[in-house]
Amino acid sequence: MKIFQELQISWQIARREIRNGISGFRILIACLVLGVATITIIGSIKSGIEKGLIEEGALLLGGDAEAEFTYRFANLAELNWLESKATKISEVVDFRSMLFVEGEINERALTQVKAVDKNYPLMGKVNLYSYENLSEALQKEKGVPGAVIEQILVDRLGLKLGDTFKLGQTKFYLGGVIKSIPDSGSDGFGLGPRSIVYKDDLEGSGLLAPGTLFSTKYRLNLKETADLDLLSENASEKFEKTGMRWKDARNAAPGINEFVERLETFLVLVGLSGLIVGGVGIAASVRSYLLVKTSTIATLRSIGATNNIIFQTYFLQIIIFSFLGILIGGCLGSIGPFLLGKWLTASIPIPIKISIYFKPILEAIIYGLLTSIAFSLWPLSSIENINSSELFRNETETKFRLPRFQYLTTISVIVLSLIALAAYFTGSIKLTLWTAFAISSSFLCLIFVAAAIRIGTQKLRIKLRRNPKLRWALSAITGPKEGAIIVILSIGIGLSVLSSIGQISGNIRAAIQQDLPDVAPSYFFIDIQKSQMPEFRQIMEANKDVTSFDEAPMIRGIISKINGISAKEFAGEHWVLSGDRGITYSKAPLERSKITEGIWWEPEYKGPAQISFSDEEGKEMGLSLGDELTVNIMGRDINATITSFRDVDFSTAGIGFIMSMNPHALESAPHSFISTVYAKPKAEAELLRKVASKFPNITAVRIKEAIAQVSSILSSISSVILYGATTTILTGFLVLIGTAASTEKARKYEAAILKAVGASKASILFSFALRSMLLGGVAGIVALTIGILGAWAVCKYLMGTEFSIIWLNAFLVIVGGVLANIFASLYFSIRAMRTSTSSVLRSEY
Amino acid sequence: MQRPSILLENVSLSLDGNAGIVDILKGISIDIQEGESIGIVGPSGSGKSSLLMLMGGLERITSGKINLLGQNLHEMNENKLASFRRTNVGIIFQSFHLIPTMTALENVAIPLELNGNKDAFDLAEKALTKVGLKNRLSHFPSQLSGGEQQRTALARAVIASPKILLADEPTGNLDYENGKIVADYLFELHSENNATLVLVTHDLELANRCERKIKISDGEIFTQ
Repeated sequence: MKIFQELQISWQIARREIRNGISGFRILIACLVLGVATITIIGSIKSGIEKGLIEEGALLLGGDAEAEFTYRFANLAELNWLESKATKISEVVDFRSMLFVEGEINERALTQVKAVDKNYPLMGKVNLYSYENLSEALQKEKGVPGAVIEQILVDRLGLKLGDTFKLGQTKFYLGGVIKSIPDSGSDGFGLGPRSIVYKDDLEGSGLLAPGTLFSTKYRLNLKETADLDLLSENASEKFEKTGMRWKDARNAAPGINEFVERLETFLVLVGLSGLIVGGVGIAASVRSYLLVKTSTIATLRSIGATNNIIFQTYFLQIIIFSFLGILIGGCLGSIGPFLLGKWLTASIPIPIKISIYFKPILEAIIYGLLTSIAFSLWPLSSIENINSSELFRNETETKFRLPRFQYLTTISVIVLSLIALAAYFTGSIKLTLWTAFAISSSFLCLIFVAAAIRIGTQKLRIKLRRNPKLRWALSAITGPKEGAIIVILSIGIGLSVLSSIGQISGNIRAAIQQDLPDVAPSYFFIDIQKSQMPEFRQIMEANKDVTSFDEAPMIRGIISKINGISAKEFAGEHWVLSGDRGITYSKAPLERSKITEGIWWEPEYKGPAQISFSDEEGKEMGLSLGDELTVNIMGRDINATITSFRDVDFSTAGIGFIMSMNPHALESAPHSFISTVYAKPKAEAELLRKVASKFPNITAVRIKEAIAQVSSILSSISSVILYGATTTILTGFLVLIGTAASTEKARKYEAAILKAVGASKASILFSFALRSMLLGGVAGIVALTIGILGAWAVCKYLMGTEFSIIWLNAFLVIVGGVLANIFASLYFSIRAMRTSTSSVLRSEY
Repeated sequence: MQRPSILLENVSLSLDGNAGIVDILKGISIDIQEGESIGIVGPSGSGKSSLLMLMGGLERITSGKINLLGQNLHEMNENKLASFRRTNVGIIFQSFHLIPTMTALENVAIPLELNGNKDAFDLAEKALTKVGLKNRLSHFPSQLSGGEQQRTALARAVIASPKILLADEPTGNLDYENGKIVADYLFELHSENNATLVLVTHDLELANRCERKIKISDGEIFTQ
């Protein structure tokens, strides 16, 4: 028969089967809906953020373009060039400082100051709770300039409008409370709440002295005819050597962009793992459906339907219902961001354009379709094993046989395509491959364990003659109808994901919140002028509660070239090259520094500049001894040769520099000092008061607060990832329900027989519950083991932190597995108990 | 001499069960002429149904030869067997085995549809009318009585005018009245189409309506 004719007849038969409704395919549809919707939502939100960053890039940046300098203002040549390109310019100086409130109890707090000019903001508006516009809030009153501060700091210091405070030596009054700042997204991570003042009002404050750490940004409104690419090229050609960093509205917040991309990649892969769990449900659905259709298939075969016709008939049904699930999932996923709209815009401090985006929908459809086909083919291949002779023997179970080679090949090709497409869509081959490896290893572990459970329970039940309830439970686990493998797979994968995330985030949080405070300093003091160092040291040495302190000179610079070629061309997008880095100088290596390669300079060395580079980062960047780095410091290029590498330990939050130079190279440049101080907790407040009163220009970063802030960000990230992983759990739960539903008939029969021979309802129900507990508990234990192993590997090799088992998470994972399986099967177990024994025995159920 | 319609030469069937290999049929040799009606009788577990399955190509012989209408079934693969059955063999089962999601009309039309026959539904309607089910065309099997289901199955078995009709306990699940009606239709259609009829039954009255009886016991032919 021709192919088209066969397809036609297959379609006719499939159409008649579909008339029966969707029963038998509910779980398949539900799994696809969840999986596709999750991936669509994640992709749509990411697309919305991307669009927001592009469309509102200028607003985010605070201008069409921006030129940034560290430690200095633009020189005349630079200013002239900027003015020639722009219709308007706004100068913004960004730095950290201590805000001092004098009162009954003097209060000090760290703040991130934005010192602006009258043109600020070039785009958008600073929204205040009090005044309509910024200029009103900042205007002088009785000679005292105004400042606006973020609510959180106002509350912490107990300030009211009109109250005065000091920044450095200058007094300000609180002119307003900040509600929102248009360019906050491009500011990056800040340690203190934001305050805004006029730059001119800082004169005499002592805060912008040479050597203090500040960055200056010139935001430009460009002419209509401006060519952004050409401008970027010009800026680079003319001023890269002087240390100017140029960006425009097309990439206003590269850090955010990168972060969002990485998070999305990770979430999509988590969503994919949910879809894979859904695949288990799909396979189980198809298997159950085909079992019910055994008689029909055998009949069709007996009246002359070929393998092809039968295969196509059921494949068509699966494809149709898959499309239904995918369609519903795609629609729900598309409207999801609209429903989450308000929460999203409130939670994410970056512009997000909520809309229907077809690319993430298409990607999710492809993922859903491939998953459905891959997981349907294995049970579909069993159609060939259904012999017409079963019509005579009333057999409904076929022996397990591996699918034929062509099916195995097709399934493999589809799975590999799925992985390849995931790598392509997410843009991260490595992460995708690791995820694929993790999921497939977890699958294999779980299948192996499930098979071992069946064999183990088979042997064990023989020994349990005196314990019938336990024996019944174990007997059922042994049998194929209980779906032991499916239960352990479906709930196991989801719990593995939860377990891994829980263990990893718990360990990182422990490293930051628990381990770090024990070794971290109490304060990081920055912007200490050289002339202030002797007195600063005296204060520290005189205080018996100060256990120790370190100090180092610091200047910031950008690595622009390596061996004469552009640094990024040499070393790629390494984090050391993104932005400026702190550089120090010293005659001898710090006590805890260990030279790993090369030789440190002589203490009085005055020859060409030398650098000692951090060993780990140096290796990552491909640096070796003798390489020449061009470092731009305050507009001047300094060429220095790497003469040694050393171990730098950043994990203690103490002083650590990627680059250290010989003193002669840097000591004459304007710079400040930093110091880490280790003090007893009870003495910290008083220590701060002493230093801040004596040196109002010095900024103190309280490490505990910084740790809390970082911790809070990490918690938010892990919460987002956990939400994503929740869909994996939900899908697994759906599959459990599906499996329980498919075993309902068997349970009814079992319950009827047991009741007929005299077993009590309680003992039968106990047996049902026991097998659910056993399977769920085993799934939980295996998932926990997988999660712990994965988390250990991540902590040890990726994060470089210590690992210990987070026992609460471990307990919750196991209990979760047990409860999930019990709840999923409870309803069907109770129904099985309620069915009348006689109706079952008369085959009327 | 006429070529036999069905020819079994020293056919054996052994199946691998949970308790080991079981010899179902041992060295069976039968020849059945075209248009003959044969009743196969014997005690339960004697191998009657298995013999029928072999004749329908629904089971593979372990050894020997089996030839239907000049074609060696033991040399055909699954698809070839299905194609062969489509046009040459009609089977009636004890449990009817109608497809539950198709109406009576659709069930009967299926063999013709598989053959690509464009008049399948018209012919199916005629076949159902012939067995007295004109008013049941759009009913699903669950809406038909046992007798009606078996008549539908009968119509399906004969619609492609097969040369061989195999019936496995066709009245086994029916009461006496319905059983008689079905049996009457069966023999009527067998004579109309001059099809070779092989009938497995416990019912001696039904077996006696056949031209010849073969008695099987313990996998071997007892009498012919």
